[in-house]
Amino acid sequence: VKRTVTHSDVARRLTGYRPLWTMAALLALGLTALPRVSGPAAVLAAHPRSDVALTMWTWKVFHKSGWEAVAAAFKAKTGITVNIQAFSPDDLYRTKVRAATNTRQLPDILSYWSGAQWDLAAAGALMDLTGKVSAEGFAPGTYAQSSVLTKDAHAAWVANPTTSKKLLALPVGHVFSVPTLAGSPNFMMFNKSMMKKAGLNPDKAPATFEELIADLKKITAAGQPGFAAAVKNPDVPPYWILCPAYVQAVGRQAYDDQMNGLKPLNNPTFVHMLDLFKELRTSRLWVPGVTNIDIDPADVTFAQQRSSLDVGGTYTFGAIVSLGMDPKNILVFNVPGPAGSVEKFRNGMFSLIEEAITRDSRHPAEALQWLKFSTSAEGAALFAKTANDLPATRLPADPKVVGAPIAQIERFFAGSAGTFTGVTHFVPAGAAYTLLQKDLQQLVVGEGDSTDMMATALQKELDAVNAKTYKGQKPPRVIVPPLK
Amino acid sequence: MKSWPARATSTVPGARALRRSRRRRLPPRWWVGYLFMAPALLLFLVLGAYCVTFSFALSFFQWDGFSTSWRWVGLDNFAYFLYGDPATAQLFRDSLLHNIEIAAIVPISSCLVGLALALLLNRSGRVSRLFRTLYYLPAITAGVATLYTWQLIYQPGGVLSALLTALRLPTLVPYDGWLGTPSLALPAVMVVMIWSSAPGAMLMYLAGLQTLDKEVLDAAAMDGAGAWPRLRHIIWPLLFPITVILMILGMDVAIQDYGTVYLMTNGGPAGATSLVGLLVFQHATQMGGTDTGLGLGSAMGWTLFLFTFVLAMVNLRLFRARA
Repeated sequence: VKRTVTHSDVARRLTGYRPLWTMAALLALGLTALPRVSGPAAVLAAHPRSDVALTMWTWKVFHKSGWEAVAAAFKAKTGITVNIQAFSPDDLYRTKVRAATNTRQLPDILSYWSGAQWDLAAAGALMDLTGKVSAEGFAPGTYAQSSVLTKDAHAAWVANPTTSKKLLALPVGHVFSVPTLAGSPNFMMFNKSMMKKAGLNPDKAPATFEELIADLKKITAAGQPGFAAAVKNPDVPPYWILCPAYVQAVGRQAYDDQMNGLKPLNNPTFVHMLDLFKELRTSRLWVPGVTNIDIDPADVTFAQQRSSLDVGGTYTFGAIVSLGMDPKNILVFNVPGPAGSVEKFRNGMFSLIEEAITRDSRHPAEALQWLKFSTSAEGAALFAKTANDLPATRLPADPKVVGAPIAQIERFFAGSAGTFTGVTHFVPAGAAYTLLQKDLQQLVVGEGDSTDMMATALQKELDAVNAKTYKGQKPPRVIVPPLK
Repeated sequence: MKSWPARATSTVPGARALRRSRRRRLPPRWWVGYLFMAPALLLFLVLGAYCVTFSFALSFFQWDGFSTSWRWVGLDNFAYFLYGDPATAQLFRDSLLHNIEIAAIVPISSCLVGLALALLLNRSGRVSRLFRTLYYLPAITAGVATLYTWQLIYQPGGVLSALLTALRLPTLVPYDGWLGTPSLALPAVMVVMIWSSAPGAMLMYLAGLQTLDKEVLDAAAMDGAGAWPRLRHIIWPLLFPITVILMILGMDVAIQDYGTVYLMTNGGPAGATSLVGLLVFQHATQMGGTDTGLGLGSAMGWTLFLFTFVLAMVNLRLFRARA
């Protein structure tokens, strides 16, 4: 019997698959709720007048405004849009870059820690810029040392058996990035008005670590706050305070040999240095609760006059000034070595952040244009003025050009050849460094073994690390180049 | 040569009928349930199972996080932090000990505080409802902001110092604050953990109390049982299954959670609050590069998992036996 299909039959059949429809509707709803892909098409749609839109990643949130100012000037000149995206904190950024490298979703331009860009280059994530960029215009101590793979750097990799084959395969002389931000750590900053109140000469920086302690004692004796460093960050006590002082105490070559495990670290000078560091606690020269202060809070503490001394780098100075502290009230000086130091030197500028074009960029030619503009005198000056940080481009120490705080930093570096310490082993390797970090934190809180025992344990740990790394052989000696 | 009959089962008499009857027994639209499960299952397979397998494999390799090649190191990553490197092994042991301390103290304290609050609030009335909401607030507001608030409470010159000074007890105020003094930092962090987990326990106990048979409690009261005997001999045994769940979940969280410590002390001062989870995080995200970070972090994570798994099994056995 022929049967006519009615509307109600169709409806019944359709409602029979109700769960399927519900599922489909839910899926569709879910898909619409997904975040939009921020690909080039989406960016172009947002900026219809631009022919090309580039994306740049950085992890320095306070640099974003600086880069945006440079991007605006770049767009006015070329019509190319550069979208600046900042991801903070550092560990999140590192993880994001790792993930994007593996999924091939890196932005056109990537900011990365100077020295660490080689890992990305070895993974094939960066465009080879050899022959496309040059050292011209960059400050001494930046491009030639950090962006070009030098023979010395490559030799140091070869000497280390743990270096990956991919890293060793990178050709000497090649360039994968350009320096964008320069500076130097190991600066100390005294509050001048507090020095004056303590009867100190506010224009005279302490020449030795002992003098530094004496000055701090006078300041705290006058009822003023002491030293606030970012002790919560375990890198700060060794990297910013102890090591830069100790390298002057024994000289750079002896220092490298000791940190490399070729000469004993458990020597009287090192123990004396640890004792001096310990005295900051025993004389109660740290501000209370210093172990729980991180980098930014330490700067805030100093800017709010709740500490008389801060330690950091050129970037710290910029941060303090942007927090509203009068730069004229800050006495900037290098971390001093202990009395009887073998060497005394001034820190030179070196590259801190590199900028690279990634292999995932769809517009490498335009990205190269941006790289050149952002590191040009015009772009860098704009960045310096807006972000209050020191570009790696050679700039005049003129407040009108770079802003007052950066002009002051530029003056500090004037005449410097731009070498930092030239030391390859600035801290002991592997777990020996972890032990040093712990020891210094213990000295800050007034706990732990005696400094003698600390030095001995550190030496033992360093020997164990080296024995494993070099399979019982001595580590190869690194000749530290002379300071220019 | 002996030939095996193809599809031998099909020759068995009645087999087809049996299959047909089974098929017939399937309810209409039996696949709907599977369909609704599919997205979650797919999500787990893509995100959960993939990550777990990836991390497990990684614990036997060295990887810089960028390149496509991994270097096989076998059990070296495990050996490194268990005994191979003295400083790292010491740090790992200290961290594991801190984890054990937290796992032993935080869940028990949370249960005790939660039960006490639930008993106090197990009555009707507006005031009671208001307090229920107030006491539950830490559970819904616990996050980065509250951890920073606790930092302000603990810091030198903070709320706690001011309170003790006002009570004429300045000698109890530590020079470096509670989080800056190694012997006090971990207990201070545990107080925060208890503060944030007790409301959850309170809610579960409160729900349990409201399902208790009132007649049993009334009968006990009529027999002359006071509040304490009723709690000890009636309420506590009846709420024991809830305690089991709370203890197992609490221990799991106490061992896995490192966010509180990361934000409040970053494992310091001098490693006084370091936890295995925090070490995993630090190795996996901070060292990186050519270092052994990712593989080492994964190996540490799997060791912690093994520890948690054994602990959970022991707990489950013990509590089940008692329940």
